[in-house]
Amino acid sequence: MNTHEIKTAAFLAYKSILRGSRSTAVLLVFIISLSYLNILFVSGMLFGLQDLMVRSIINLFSAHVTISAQQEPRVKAYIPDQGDLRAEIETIPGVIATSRHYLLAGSIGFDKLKNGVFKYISGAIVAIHPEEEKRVLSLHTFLIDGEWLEPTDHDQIVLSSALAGGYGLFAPSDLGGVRVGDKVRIVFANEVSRPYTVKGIYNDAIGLFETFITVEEAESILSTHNEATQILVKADVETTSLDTLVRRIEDVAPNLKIQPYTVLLGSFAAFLSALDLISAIVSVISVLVAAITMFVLIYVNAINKRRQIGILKAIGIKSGIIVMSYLFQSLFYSFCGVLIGYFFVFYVLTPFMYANPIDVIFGYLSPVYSETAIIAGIVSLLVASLLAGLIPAWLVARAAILKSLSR
Amino acid sequence: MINVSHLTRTYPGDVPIHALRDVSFHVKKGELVAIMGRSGSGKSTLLHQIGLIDTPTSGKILIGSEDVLALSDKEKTKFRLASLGFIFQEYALIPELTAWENVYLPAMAEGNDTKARKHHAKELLELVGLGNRLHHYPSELSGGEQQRVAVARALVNNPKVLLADEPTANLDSASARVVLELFRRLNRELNQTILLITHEPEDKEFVDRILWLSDGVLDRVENVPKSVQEMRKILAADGAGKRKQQKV
Repeated sequence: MNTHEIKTAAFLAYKSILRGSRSTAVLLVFIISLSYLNILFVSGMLFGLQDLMVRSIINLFSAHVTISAQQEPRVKAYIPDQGDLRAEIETIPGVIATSRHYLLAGSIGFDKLKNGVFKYISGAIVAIHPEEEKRVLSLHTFLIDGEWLEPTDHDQIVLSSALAGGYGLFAPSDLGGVRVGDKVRIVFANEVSRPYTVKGIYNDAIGLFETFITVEEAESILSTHNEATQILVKADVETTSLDTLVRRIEDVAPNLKIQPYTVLLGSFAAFLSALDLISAIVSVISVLVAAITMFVLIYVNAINKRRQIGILKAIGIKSGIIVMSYLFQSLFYSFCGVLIGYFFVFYVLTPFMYANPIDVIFGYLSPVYSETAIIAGIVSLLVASLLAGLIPAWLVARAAILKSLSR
Repeated sequence: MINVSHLTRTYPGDVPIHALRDVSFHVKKGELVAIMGRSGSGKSTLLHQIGLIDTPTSGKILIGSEDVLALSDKEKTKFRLASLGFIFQEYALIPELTAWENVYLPAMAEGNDTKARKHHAKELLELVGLGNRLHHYPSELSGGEQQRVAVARALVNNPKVLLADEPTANLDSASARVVLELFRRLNRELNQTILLITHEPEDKEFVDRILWLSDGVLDRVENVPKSVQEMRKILAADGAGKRKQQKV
């Protein structure tokens, strides 16, 4: 196809758009814009949900990297000299902060009726340095009652609302309604038993069943010093890749177990993959619906113009020029639809969603868009519209001239 | 100019239809020839074969020195664009294009010098008396005016032959006369070879010869009497004189 033929096709398309059916044009653009909106917004919300879940895991549970005690050749209970090790890790580029945990097993008991009968629930007891913890995890921002621990709080604890009970959360078992200021008793696995006052109750909404005490308190129970069960590392993964970070930490701590959060996602990873799959399915269906609707509209339009196409061919206009003019029209409508869809998503719907995010218990959900999704949406719709324009135009234009001319 | 020999067109089917049977004739350059006959006699079928919008079962058509039936589909399309001008019974204009754009379109598709062809299209519209209707859309023109735009469009690429399929069938008698006079003028002034279908006996006065078809067979060739042609020449000259006076 040479230049003047392309010019002729473009001219026919331009005049057809300018003088053609307004209702068909509006309907085509509307369908494409809705499809693009659907592709972008649904994938954006699902991607936002994934992002929120991963961020929640990182901020409430694992940080970016979790370092555990030696597993091989011999399993060790604690990481020795955690102070020096953390100081060295914090010099690695990209590392923002570290914190140490002792993980203790035990049972928490509560005498709700004050009659000497305690109800005991098993749970994980995590020992933290309250100030360091604030720099790595954000559980302290999820307090629903009371206050966060201070480093000197030896006889106080913070526990989850799921464990405390009475906060309307589902839990297989709870303490029956512990409130801030109540006295509880913890019996540790090494049979040490101590009373504590509840200083704060948090609701992380992902159902952590944990109780927090201070590391100094834990060391007095475990008879340890300057050790840790695990070290959490918070990093700037925008500037340093997670893989690089893990490699650098492995260099510093070759015998320890080092796990990035992606490994610790566990069953969440399968759920996140399912969200990816749902997003892809919704996008494919949207593109198919748009393509089929466009095909039908353009086919009906081309059938209605069958005689006109026959006349064009009879006066010597090549079928290729006619088909190309339909392609130009399809592309134009598709471009307009994508543009309107893009405008609506990014200048109307997204600002609205950011102003009014959906409360999904563990955070506020807003759409998150990836460049890939935006471009893939545009490309798939343009390709779909090209096919939706090409096939009907080709079907009508290839008909014999006499057949096209007959009414 | 046009040499048709042993042209046959049979439409296959349970009962094959023999639309044309062994038709042979010759049209000279600059001739204005009418094809006449009853409805179903094969007039349109014959024109469609010469216009390369249908393919005969057998036979040969030479236009100029070109054996047009030997051309490939692509070459036929190119030949239709460059060498044939087709005028349909119904005003077959593209509704989204103005009169000027409708005329200019085939020139644009042929890829000729844009400015010159645009000017030529304008001149043609002036020639058919529509110089003041350049930017009107078909829906804003009368039937006769639309048909004159179709004539101008058929002429834009300077075709060897103008083919017209009952160009006056849908026009009132006054408009029909205007269109036929236009054909006569084009024939006289531009020496344009024209082959047209008509079913009106009074249209005889505008043509040089008539090919009478009957049941797909060329029944007879009728030469229009000289006296009629002489009369026509006088009328044409009178018309030209009047046009000269108008220009002055």
